[in-house]
Amino acid sequence: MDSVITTAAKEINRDELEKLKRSATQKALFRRRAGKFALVIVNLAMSIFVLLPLLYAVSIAFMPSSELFTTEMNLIPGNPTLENFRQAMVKIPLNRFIVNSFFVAGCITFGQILSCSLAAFSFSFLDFKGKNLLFMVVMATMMIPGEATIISNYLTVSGLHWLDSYNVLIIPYLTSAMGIFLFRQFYKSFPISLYESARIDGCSNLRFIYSILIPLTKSAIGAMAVYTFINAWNMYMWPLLVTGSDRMRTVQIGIGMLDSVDSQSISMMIAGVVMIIIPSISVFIAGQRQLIRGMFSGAVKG
Amino acid sequence: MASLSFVNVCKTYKNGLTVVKDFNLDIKDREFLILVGPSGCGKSMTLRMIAGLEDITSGELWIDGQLMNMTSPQSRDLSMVFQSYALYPHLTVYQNMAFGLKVHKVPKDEIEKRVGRAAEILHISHLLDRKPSALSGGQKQRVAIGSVIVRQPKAYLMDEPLSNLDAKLRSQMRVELAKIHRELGATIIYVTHDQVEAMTLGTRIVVMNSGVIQQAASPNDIYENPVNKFVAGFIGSPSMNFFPVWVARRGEKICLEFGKNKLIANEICSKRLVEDGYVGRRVYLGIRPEDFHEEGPEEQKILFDVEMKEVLGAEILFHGRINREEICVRLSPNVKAEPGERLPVYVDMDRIKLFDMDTEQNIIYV
Repeated sequence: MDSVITTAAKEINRDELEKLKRSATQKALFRRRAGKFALVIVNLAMSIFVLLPLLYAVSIAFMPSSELFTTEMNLIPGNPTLENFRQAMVKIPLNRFIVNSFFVAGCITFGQILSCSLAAFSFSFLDFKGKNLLFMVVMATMMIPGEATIISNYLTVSGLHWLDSYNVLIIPYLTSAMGIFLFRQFYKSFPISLYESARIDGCSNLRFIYSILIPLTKSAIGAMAVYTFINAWNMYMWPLLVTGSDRMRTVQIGIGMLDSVDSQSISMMIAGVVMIIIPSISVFIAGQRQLIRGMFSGAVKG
Repeated sequence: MASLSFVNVCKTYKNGLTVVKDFNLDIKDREFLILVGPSGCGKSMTLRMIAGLEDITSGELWIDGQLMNMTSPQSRDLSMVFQSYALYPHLTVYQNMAFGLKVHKVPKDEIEKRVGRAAEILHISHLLDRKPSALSGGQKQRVAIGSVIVRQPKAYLMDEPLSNLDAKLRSQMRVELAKIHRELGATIIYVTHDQVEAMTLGTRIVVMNSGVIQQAASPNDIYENPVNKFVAGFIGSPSMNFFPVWVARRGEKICLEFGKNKLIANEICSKRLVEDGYVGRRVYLGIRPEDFHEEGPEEQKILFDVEMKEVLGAEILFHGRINREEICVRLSPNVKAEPGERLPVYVDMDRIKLFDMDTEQNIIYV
């Protein structure tokens, strides 16, 4: 009789235990989901806050002027139009400017990758007298602000009769101390035994760079390419100083030209801005993984 | 294949530190030469100087009768296996092995033939399409050796190639390397700090310490007839036991006395000790762990206090002390002694070594 009661009590206990377990699991699940949901909401709110100026600019670009200059809060265009884009293209030769900027930024990117990777190769792999001193000199140039040398640079290029040409936009930027530094840091984490092994195998330095180093440092090259392209695309001061004709102007100056006294159309100007940020954003999106991998390479053991 | 010759080679760093001193050595064609020594003794530096990866500060390096001091690594026609394998991670096993041949513009079908043969020798034919990241340590090691043997250079240089492998794989690879040497008939210069590798692989061993060659001889010679206390202690596992002993004349006999222990020297030792004026002086007595026996004549008996024993199956290692000196004795597994006991052992007096107290040179070196 006793044993029947004990078994029944055990059965009840087991059922209760199961119920308790289930409710505890459900509570934990709810808490986890609520936490995740709250995080998503906070993230969404933050991203809207951060992106609002950009999104509003895109919205203005499609907004007729009549909608913009009202007392109402027009965040989204009521009658979207492409007129602002058309006007921006008519007002200034934006196509030509975009082509110029692409060409200049492309050449600078290619040139910097080539020159900086070769310079960094010598600083990392080769052994020559005064290597450290020379590297320090290169690094020291990073401490001089560009504005400080702009006049002397202008005098030099004008002496060479390069003003208002692609030469003047590209050649002074074909190398950079920052690029050399970035590549050198990357190469420092490169196993030296691979270089030594290649040399013993009869490989020349150039062949090593071409067939071993470049394929293995793609992320550094990608990071450098994105960084350089965006910097070159956004150049303003130097092109403004050394170019005078529409033939050689770059997009950043073009946007400045839209903001003239006699044509104060904010929506048209913003349409121009939206057009020219598309390439740099695309380059960043395409290369962001490489950029982040390149920037943080060697930061953690991997 | 090639012969190499070092004449007074020295390597000094810019800060004045000399890592290789007055290195003189002739390496014969088809020799499997082992450079062995403790860490920092200059063995890897010597190998790197042969490869051309380090400049020679002074002296001459000759390969096949040509002075190589100023020749670049790519023109020396050598190949090298690195401790870290140095495989190109973006290339497949086949491409890794073929890389050196491609650089030397060997025709494609010849490359295929040589890589195929090397892969067969090393049992890696099924791995040719894989990238190094998909290989185990042992497989990577084989690929590294493979990319070296396809080249058929003048000499093969190997810098501790087995040090990253586990014990079992290491012993397997030792056998493979010995086979490869036999099959290729190649000149191999092999750096290691593992004396088992040195003893089993080499046709000749060069023992180095502090940048100086201590002894260059066959494995058996190095073991049986070490030139000094360093070589005697470095080669052999467990290493040789050393005791400072007094050399005394007792009647007709020459005795080696330490504490209450007294050993009677054999005829050869006695003669050398008397001739060289060691009677009445202290010398180092060297006895290898395997030169102790459980039985023997009373005059060869010594007593030691057992502190620890290692049962290895086929043998037992007893660690203990005689007076204050540590001792390791290798005996058969039927010896029953426990830590704390005093164990009598008998020394094989024909196999002892004696070293000068000051110069540490082997007194009975022949």
